[in-house]
Amino acid sequence: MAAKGEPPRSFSQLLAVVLFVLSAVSLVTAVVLPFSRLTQTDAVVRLNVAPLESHLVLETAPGLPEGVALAPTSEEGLTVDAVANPDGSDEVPPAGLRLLGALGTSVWGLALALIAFLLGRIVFTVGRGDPFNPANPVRFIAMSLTVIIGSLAADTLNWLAASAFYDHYSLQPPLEVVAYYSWTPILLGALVLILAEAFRSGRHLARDTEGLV
Amino acid sequence: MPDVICHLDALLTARGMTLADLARQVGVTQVNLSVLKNNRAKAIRFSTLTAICDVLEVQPGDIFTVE
Repeated sequence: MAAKGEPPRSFSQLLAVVLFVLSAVSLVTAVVLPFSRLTQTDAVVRLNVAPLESHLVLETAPGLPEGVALAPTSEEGLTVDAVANPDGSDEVPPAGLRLLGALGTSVWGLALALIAFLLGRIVFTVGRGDPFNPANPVRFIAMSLTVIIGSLAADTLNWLAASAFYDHYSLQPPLEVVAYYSWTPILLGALVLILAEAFRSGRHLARDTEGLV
Repeated sequence: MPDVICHLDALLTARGMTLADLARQVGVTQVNLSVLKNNRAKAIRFSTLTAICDVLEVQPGDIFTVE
């Protein structure tokens, strides 16, 4: 219950609280995931499938070693999830391989935690009626860099994990490892940089009209 | 830097007007006029100044002096 004289919480402030919770959940997940992978006995990486051979790969991938299985993904025909020791009855993959398979997701989780925290702080200032707080442009720039760097780091780690898995189990075409970097986070980061500039200009305008009657 | 002093208080007293009356006739909030009256304003719009001069039948120099 709000104290006497305290303004009621606005929708923005409630949204800020939701973002802080999301940030905390992402942080915990990102930290716990690598440790969780170490306690499990399988390793999972995503591999690409050579074009025109996707219809064959799940059933008859040549040279697929014992203890490695393939599972379809949402990008059917383009990628597959390669799982080492899927039922726990074969040789347990090395700890490094199990850990590497989870690091990309973990790094992206850390980035998401930071992004949600910064966005929460921005939304909180908006709810307080202070959208052009001098810290907000800095927060937007930090969000932009986090989106770009987090995405590049996660994609690189996923590629490293897939390469290590491919080499360790001596996999062969049509399975292949392709470094894949998405443009979407880079464009999103650029968009957030534009927002940072807009808020910086808004701060100047707000300062210009301060005390104007 | 010299200070701009607002004489709105004296002008209102001389005319027996309240700040609320002036705010209503000028078309700005009483809060903004209070800021102006207490020398806390950093700038004034020409439209506000013209409206105050119109209502009080004075010139800008009667409202403000620089010290």
